[in-house]
Amino acid sequence: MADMLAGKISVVLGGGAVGDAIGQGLARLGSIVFRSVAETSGAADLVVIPVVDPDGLNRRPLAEMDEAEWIRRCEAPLGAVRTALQEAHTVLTERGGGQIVLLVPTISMLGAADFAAYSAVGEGARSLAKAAARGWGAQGITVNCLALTQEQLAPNDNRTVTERKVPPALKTPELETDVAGFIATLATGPAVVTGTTMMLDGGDVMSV
Amino acid sequence: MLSGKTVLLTGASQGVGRGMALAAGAAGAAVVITARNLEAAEGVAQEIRAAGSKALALRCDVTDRGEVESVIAATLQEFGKLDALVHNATSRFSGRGARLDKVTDEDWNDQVAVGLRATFLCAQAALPALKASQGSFIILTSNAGIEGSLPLPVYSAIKGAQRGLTKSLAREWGPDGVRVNAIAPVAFTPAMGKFFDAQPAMRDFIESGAALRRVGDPQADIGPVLNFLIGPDSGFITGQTLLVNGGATMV
Repeated sequence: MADMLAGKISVVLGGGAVGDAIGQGLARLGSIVFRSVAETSGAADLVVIPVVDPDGLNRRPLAEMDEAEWIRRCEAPLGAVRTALQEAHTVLTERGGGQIVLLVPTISMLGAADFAAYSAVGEGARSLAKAAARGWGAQGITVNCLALTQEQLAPNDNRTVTERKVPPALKTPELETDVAGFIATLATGPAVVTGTTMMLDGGDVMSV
Repeated sequence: MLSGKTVLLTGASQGVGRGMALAAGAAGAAVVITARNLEAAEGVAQEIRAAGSKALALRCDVTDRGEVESVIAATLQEFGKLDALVHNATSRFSGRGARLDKVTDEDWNDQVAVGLRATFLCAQAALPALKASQGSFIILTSNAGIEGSLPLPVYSAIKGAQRGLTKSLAREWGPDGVRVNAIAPVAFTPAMGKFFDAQPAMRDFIESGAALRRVGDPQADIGPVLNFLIGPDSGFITGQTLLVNGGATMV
């Protein structure tokens, strides 16, 4: 398994500590990992886009935001997902195709009070990923979303929300080992899945 | 059914917005029709008044906080309350097709302004009045936000984002008695008419994709669903997207 991604070039676009952990996991599986498209030679096999807005993890009622804060919490991060997808398309096309994986929050699918802006980013990103999957499939590019819980996306933030009280069926997947390993499986298996969202939460959310 | 209720709709001078406004008026609501084109909005208001209900037409650029706040203030002044704000307005670039790698900042920015910022502005400005009336905030979304659309990636993103917003706002405002829902319609609009004129085969394609084999009518098919969502019979429904599409998509 250590050389599962040998010869593969991966780019993890942003995502702070979450992006770091995924990048380390992919490197451990043999990939060359870059943290921006500018660091590559213009080509890559796998692009990971963590839709993680550290600012959005703080509870904030919609009524209390001014317009600038709304733009910062919602429109800017969603716009960043769009440009990240476009960058991914450029570098993957150079290699004749590849995989794009977005890491999205489960709470945007479930809804959570005081997370309206971040929920809009998460669900907007998923729809954008579907449009990209439809558009780029013929170019050999797959686009899928892996949904993660707040515990996975912000492990050190004691203000994160847990609306659900039922424990997950399995242990919560670790970013560096389990989630990176699943991404490697997607990147090396047959290209038969695109436009989907898979719950990488150990069997927490089962309603979608 | 909606007697005594006041409903404000954005982008209601034509298409689905106009149809919903007419249906709300026919059900007895006082209807506030807002649009950038005041003359067209006034035309819809006159139709509603001619049918015996109250209506007010106001010009509103939904991306401008001041204008959004002023139409809500005018609604409260005219009718004393606001029971539902229906955010239906979409960007004039909504139908501009381009695969995601060809999307430009211009495409993105205007759709974000009308689709997302305006949703935020309308929601925030309406909240005090909706709390007072125990009312509803309703967003018009789209199948594109559920399935993703190859030629309309920006529209897909905006419409998906609105669904996320719907769910979280429903949880946020539920304790205050304010409901938040979305409608994803497939209905005939002037824009769709132009599209069908240009590509006649698309009419067959879209109609044959629906279990009921037709495109909906804004007033007859979408309007009653809006009336249900803002009326007394849906008081236990919040955070949902109702797909009103003749069975085009089933989730």
